[in-house]
Amino acid sequence: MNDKSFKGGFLVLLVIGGLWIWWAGGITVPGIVSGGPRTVLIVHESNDQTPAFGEMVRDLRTGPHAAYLTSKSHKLLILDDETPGPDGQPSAILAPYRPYAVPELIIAKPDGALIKRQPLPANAGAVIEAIKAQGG
Amino acid sequence: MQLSDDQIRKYLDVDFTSAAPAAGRMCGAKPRVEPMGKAGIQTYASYLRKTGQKMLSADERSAIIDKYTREGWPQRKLMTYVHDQNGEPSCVSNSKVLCHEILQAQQFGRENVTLLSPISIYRFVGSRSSGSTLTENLRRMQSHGALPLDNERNRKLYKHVHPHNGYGKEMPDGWEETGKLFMDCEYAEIENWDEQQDAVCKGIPIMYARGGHCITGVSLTKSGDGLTLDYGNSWSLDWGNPISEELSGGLGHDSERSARSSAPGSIAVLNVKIPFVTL
Repeated sequence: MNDKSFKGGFLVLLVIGGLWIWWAGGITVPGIVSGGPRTVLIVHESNDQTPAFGEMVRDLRTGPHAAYLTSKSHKLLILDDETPGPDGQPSAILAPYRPYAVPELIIAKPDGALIKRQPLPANAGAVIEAIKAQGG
Repeated sequence: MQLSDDQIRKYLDVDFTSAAPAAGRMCGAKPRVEPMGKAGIQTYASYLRKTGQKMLSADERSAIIDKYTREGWPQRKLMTYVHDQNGEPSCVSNSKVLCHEILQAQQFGRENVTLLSPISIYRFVGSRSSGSTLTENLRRMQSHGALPLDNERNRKLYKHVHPHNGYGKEMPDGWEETGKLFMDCEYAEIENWDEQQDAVCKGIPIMYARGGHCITGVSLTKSGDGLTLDYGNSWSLDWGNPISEELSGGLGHDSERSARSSAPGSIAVLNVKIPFVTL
């Protein structure tokens, strides 16, 4: 087999391989989450507050993790699932994400577009890691 | 921020009866009329049982005090305002709204706190000179709520607002509609000093009365003179030690001896369900 034949054959194999991959479902490229400020909602049932939850809230609001949130311009809201708005009706900020599986962590863009939602992690450090994993 | 022993001594075990006129202020906490356990409020012990919590041990409390002394106490860092009852005996109502605001900040962040008008509660539970009890204020809050303080932010967000002071100032027409947004609160009655320390270490603001005055327990400090319960007062920023980096005054201190005697009947404000609003 001369060099030209080898190259030609290789090219044919490449095309066939590419067509096969395309037919099989394509190549999945991991989603790239662009970084930026986040709106972070922790939705919970206030009547079910546990000591661990209280500690998490304090750490996120006033502990070392609070400084990280501020440095990244993230907005953190820790809301009961029945939080009202100023008109007494269910709060508009929660409406896009109903129904909930409380306690839940919702990470969104500042305009409210959902990036990820998941069960609430066990502690403040894990919440921060979850936010970082979504570009925050 | 850590206070020096001299700073703490300056405002330690203040005699409110003599200090109030000197500060141009009043007290206003009337003795409770209901025996302990008869005010229709759950006890702190039953709240712990209900939520599956245990009391912290003395070692656990000590470790938490050390931690928050280093990092800053959550309740104090969440305070956004030092109330000033001025010349009115509305101390209990001032403490009530302060506890609310701390719990708001916990939920929404300090930047989204709705400051409340203490006089919008007090005018229904006391007279121009009588003062009021802790339980009267709790019941009033749960039945009618309070109005947002009259400031620029609140005027944009709410239909009704009310000034900070002014017993004789009429409530705005239809105010109940806005007042009820702030009704939903949960409390627990504290029976002793151990429970009071437990609550403070868990980030819970405490309303308590001593010497005819009501103040808000917000932290514990190990000073050279022993453990102190630190409280937020409602005599403006011009009185007391700094509460935080942002609030340059308003903080006083009770020795363990004083705090122990005033613990029974103090109120843990556990959570509030309030509207989330922002500009």
